[in-house]
Amino acid sequence: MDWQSLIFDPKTNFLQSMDNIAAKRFFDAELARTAVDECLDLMRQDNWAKLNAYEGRNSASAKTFFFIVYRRCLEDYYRKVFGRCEPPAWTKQLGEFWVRLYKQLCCQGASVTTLINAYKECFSSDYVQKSISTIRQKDPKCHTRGKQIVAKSIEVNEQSDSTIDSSYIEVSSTNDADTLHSTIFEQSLNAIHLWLGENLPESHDATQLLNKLNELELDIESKLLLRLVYQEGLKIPAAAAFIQIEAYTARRRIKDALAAIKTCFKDSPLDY
Amino acid sequence: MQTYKEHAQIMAALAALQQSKSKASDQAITDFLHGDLSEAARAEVIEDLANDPKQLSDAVKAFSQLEEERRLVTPKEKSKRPWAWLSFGSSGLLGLAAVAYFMFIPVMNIEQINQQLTSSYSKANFNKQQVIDNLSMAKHFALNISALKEDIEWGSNSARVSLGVETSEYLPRECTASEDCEKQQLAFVLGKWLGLNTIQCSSAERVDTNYWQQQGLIYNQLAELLQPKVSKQLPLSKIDVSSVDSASTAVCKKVNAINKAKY
Repeated sequence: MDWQSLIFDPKTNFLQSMDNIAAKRFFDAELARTAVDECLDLMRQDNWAKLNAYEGRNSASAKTFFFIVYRRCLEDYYRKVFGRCEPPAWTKQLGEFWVRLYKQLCCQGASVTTLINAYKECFSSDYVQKSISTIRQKDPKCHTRGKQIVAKSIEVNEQSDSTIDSSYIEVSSTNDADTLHSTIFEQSLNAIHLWLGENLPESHDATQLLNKLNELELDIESKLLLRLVYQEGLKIPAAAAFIQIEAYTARRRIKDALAAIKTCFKDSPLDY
Repeated sequence: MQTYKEHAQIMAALAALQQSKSKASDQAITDFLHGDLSEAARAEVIEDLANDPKQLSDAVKAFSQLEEERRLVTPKEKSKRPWAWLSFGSSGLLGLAAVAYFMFIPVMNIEQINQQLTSSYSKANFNKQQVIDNLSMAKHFALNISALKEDIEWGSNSARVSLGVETSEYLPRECTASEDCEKQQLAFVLGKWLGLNTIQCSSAERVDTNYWQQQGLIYNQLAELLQPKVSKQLPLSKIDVSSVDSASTAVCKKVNAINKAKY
């Protein structure tokens, strides 16, 4: 693949798309421009070595491949600038919106107003504010993160106290994966309750709920559909197109999955 | 609060899903998005993406970009079709007939239309829980939409909030001095009309037959005012509401056409 001519051909519009993606990723226009230049230089090294891993045949899929690599490069640049201010495990469990919000709020130090504006096309201010206050309650040191944080962020064995920030503690190699997952789940559940403006009842057994949910055995396409619709914000037909199935099939699977999930929450604090 | 709680259940359920340790390669994701994978390889990528929200998010961004490119390419290809004139001719004739039929309807101002529309909310009849169940909670990352679409979405959201099927209310987009604020207001009311009737059209519950005729008339009034202000990509031709029997079909076809339009 002749990457040089593909990227710099004005007809392909690569450079414009690169600018747009960087502008969305970084608040600061100057920083976005620098990020584009850095990534272009990095990809260009050794005669486009990073891109030469591409094994496809046509220019359409080459373009998709290019932008996947480019987005990763932007993430690396972001980390270089803002340090390793890794979002806690529970935000990752709740999806990419929470991860992004955490990074912008705690790592980049964006103001509440900026964030409300940044998401105003997709969220009400109430929704964003609730999410911000949840992050702040879960991580009281949020505003002091940023570049100082270099400790490796890792999922941890932590206490269930929601105010204890456990996401920056080194994990012991002896940790049992199930216990770890159960703890992160409890943290996530706690965040969800804070988000709802409620406290998780002390008597509640998160492990039991987690076991119930794990026993659901949703098929993998249904899991992916749920993530696409409820975490990524795709509409059902778009989610169906993503995994190349009919929209009505996707609709039915989501409906069945939601019904199954609902039964798991019976008699839990999230029952309604 | 109900939709929030419902969303919270789904958030919790997704948080419970185990993360996989394997990651799909950039090449595999590229091939997956282009439909170039064998059934087994496809299943593997689906499994990786279903268990890794970060990687999924990257793949969704690439997918959206690809879809956008496909959308931009499609109209150019359409114009090359030798039979394209036929569809243009027939829709043009239909449009002309519709304009001729309704050109004598007295035009109300936007405030009157808005009031009439809001008062018709009480006539809607649908299963609220079913609508909440089917409503896509998250249009979270629908960035880069046109101002017109944003205003229409805002109106639809307002209708859903008023009808009690959604709790998150969007903030109105600010109308700057350089913009046509009347157009924004019209798009907002059209959005309300769409929000209401998208729900009513997919509802099995019956409404008074006059409801559909009234909705058709409201739409025609809105189209009259909005049509000169928007691009041809928004299908705003008027609809025939002369017959009580056909009014619901006409309204629902129009709702569908506007919802599907790319603008």
